[in-house]
Amino acid sequence: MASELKLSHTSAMILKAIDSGHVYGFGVMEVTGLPSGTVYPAMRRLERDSLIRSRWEKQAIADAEQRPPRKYYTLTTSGRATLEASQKRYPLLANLIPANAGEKA
Amino acid sequence: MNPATLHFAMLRSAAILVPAAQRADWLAEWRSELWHIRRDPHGVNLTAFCMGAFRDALWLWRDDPCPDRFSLSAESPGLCLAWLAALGVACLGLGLLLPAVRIVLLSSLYPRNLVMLNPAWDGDPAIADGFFAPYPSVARKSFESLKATEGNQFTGLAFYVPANLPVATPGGKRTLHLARTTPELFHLLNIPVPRARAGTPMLVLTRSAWHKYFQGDRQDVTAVVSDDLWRLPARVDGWLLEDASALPASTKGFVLGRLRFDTLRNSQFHYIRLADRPYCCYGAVLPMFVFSCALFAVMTFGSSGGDMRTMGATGLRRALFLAAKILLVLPIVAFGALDLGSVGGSVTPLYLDVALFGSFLATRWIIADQRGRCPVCLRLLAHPVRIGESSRILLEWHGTELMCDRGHGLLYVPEWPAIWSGRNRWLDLGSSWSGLFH
Repeated sequence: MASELKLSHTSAMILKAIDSGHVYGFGVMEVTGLPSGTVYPAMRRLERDSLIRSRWEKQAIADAEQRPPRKYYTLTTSGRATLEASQKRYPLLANLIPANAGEKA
Repeated sequence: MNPATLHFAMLRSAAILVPAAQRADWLAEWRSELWHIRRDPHGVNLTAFCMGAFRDALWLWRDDPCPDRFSLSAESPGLCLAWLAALGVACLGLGLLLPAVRIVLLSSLYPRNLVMLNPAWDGDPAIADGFFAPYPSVARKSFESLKATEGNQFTGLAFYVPANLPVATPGGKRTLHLARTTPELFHLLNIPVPRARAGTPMLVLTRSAWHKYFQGDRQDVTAVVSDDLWRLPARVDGWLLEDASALPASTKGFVLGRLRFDTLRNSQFHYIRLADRPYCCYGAVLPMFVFSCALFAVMTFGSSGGDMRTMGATGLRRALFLAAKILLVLPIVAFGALDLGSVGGSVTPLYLDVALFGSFLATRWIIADQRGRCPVCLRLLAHPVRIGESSRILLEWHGTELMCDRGHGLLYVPEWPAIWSGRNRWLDLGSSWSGLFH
């Protein structure tokens, strides 16, 4: 049923960005060029619809690097299926978002 | 303010909108993101980034599954009174921001014996006194006659005429709103200004006009007075202090006096104490409010509430709640009407019309709210259910049933009054039902 969910171009772009390895809010903002006021509410919506899930980075890792922990987002199974459906709808999506393996959580 | 403090304050402000259960997590995420962006900004405007937090918080606020929090808060009698108090303070605050209302409200700071004088008139003394629509009504000749015949009743008298006059400023000739006044004016108002030399006009400016037209240059300006010190009728940029003989003879102006005794005896003039102006506003609203309360009480008598009367502590609580609502609504009507009545730039008789209309609306709301509350816990009754059909009113009861969320009882409000069901009927469920309610 989730794969039938029709996403807006913005939501699809954010989903694609997360799938490409831009796993926190600012990373998604940077790669999509969207402002914070669009990206964060969109991610909340995607999380509410169970297309993505969030988890906090382990405190020990953040402490070791002397920085606050970040909240990471990953695609769920239904999110992946929805993204595949969206890529058929928006074929240029893959070209818009470059992969970022380094940021994969 | 330090930018980091500003950004953190923005996030904290936005967090107020976030539902309490998610607030700590939400704030931690935004703070963390801000920390990382500050270290490696990539050309991002941090303030714009933090502004986005408000949209995010607003989305969460709207998406909160907790239903209708405003009506939930209005259900509680305490919060209802808090809302009314806040609205009253807001109306007063708005009034203090509006120059015309501010003048009226701050007039109470003048000494009790300072009065404005107007020629006696047969009409409404409040209007004749120029209270609602202050207008210049005394000619210089009348002022001089007053001074000669009744001067012994005053310790000081001043006359001023508002006029638009060209004044040479460093930026060229500008037309300023000036009050051409006799030199006693500032002495009466207890504003320290150098004494004028006979025959030499003196220019005194408000601080804002001095900065605006003279760029702070003291040349040609005798004194500068704070804008807040002038609370008399007529908006002015400054004052031209002249001898009375130099003022135009036919143009009408305002007369300010300081009474020697408590009242003015055998005078051709009406007077209004400047300190009484705010109380006059309140005094004008009070009779209207009492009248509308009485009118609604008579209109609704016998059609409602008959079976909702409660005795003892509960009845007392109910009466106190009603009294508190009336006391809190009264300043809202008074200050709100004053705010609306001064839309044109001065407090006009429109104030009275707005106050009358506001009194009716407020009374209507007070009674409707009181009737819609549980007589036991004073919370708003909820879950209205329509029962019956209007076409079968002779066969069965037709109206709305409301329920107290705490299980105290049910209120039956008939849609159409019938011979056998004309009144609201309160069904007290008693404590045996309390187990069914949370």
